[in-house]
Amino acid sequence: MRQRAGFRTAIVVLLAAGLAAWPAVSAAQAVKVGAVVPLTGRYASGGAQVRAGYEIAVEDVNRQGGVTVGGKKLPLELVLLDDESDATKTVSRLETLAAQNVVAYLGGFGSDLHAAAASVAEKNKIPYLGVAFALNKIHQQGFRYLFSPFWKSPDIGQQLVPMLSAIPAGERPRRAAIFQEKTDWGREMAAAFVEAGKGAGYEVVAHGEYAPGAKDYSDLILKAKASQADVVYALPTPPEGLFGRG
Amino acid sequence: MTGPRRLDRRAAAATVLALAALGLVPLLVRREDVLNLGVVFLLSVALAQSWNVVAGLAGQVNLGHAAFFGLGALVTRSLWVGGTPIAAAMALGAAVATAAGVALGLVAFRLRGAYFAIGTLALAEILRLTVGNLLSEISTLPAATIAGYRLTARYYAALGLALGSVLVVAALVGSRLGLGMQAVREDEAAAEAAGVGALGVKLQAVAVSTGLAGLTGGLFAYYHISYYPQHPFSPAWTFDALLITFVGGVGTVHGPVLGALFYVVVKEYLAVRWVDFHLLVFGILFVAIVLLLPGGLVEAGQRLSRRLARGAPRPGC
Repeated sequence: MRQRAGFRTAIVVLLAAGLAAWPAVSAAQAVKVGAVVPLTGRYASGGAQVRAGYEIAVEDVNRQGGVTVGGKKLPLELVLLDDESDATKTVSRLETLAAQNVVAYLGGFGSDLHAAAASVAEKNKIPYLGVAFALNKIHQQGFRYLFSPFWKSPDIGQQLVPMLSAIPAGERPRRAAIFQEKTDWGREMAAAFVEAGKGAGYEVVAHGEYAPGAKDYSDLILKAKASQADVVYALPTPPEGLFGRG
Repeated sequence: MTGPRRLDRRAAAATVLALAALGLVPLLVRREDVLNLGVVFLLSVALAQSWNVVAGLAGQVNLGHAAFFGLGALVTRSLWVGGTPIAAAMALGAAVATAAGVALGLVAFRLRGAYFAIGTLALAEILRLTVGNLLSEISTLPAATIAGYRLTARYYAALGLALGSVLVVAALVGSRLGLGMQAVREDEAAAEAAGVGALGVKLQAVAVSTGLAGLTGGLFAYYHISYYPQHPFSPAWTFDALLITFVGGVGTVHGPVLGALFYVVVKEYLAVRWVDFHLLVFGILFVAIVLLLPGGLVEAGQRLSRRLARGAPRPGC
């Protein structure tokens, strides 16, 4: 529920910014927001969740009369397109939405798609709301139209400290293994896990890397076992993120 | 054979004229989405044409075309972001792609059969994994460059490249070298017996093809604001080029252009029109074309003009 409220406030804030930046939009019947989400391809499962979130949020906002623009309540209209988990198509679909005069972009799933999308938003000067991406680096490139109501890699690391403190002291993990994905997000997260260890009182005893799409993790697992790690930190990106379960 | 060949020549001329007419689009339409779709379409034409040279004309199936596209993109992006003018960066990208293609050809063409296909496939995957491991940081243009980013410049660059690639194939088809490529494609031993130096012809086909692919990759690097360096090495680029060429008409001048029209423009229309099942509709259309027109979309044009030439249309042909 908290996340939904976050979505909603973020959308409303963005819309205000969007309307200010988009004088062409007249007092039409509805305020159009455009989402490009991967509904097919490798990010399809993540994209489906993002889509559901947008639909719930828009429905919720509209049930309460919509958003206030210049003292008048207007309903939200969501235009949602699929980018097939392909960054080139993300760009095309965002341009299509711009031609339909959307006042704000809603993002999809996956760092590569977000990075491509955020730069198009910057080019078109349309505010972009990226949910479901934790890569911090994109936020440090001076983009003025990029917004994200989502925690970033350093925040995730910091959250580990209170989470682990909730475990009784005797059972708290002391020896951690990090399985680092060889991407920029993987590097950010590994740094965050190391940093969090100082506060949470665990020691990183094994630190291995894997390429996105890797199929065999036995060397990482053996390394973690050999160093008697009692907790493993890794990225949750599917499908690789699921290998550690069970 | 004069009939079909004259027909092909007419189709080639019409294709060149149609592409040249696309030069007017930015003057008439100010919509970024149209220009963007135009860039993607023209980029696909150039990439498919480059695959068409080596596989369609010379019959050497390249299953790792993304390697050369990716090399072009990698070299161009690195140099361009480093301050080299884009034209020089693209030329160097194409040179690196060509060198890689010829080097691979020199090795693979010593053997007959599927070794070139296997070699290219392996090269593309090796490069994709290596680039992904070494350059895992996303490549984004600086905010200042994005502020000055103009799609029109990319559009004309893509148009020039697409037009160039069509002209290259058109010039090759009737030339001595192109006829040599087609002879090698049909029967390598017979071609050699007739005095065609098969190895040289195949290497030249690879050089032209990979050079064009490298230029197209360079264009991608110039066009795409933000991507992971391994993205252009993704097998999707190989299979896009392959499918576009096959659905259009492999080994023809205008086939890849028709194929790209279907594969990019029709697909984009469907994606916007039917968000939830566009891939299904596209898939059904694709299967229908392959089943009904084994020679690709080119065949539809040929059948139509044959029927027109005969006068009365016959049902159920």
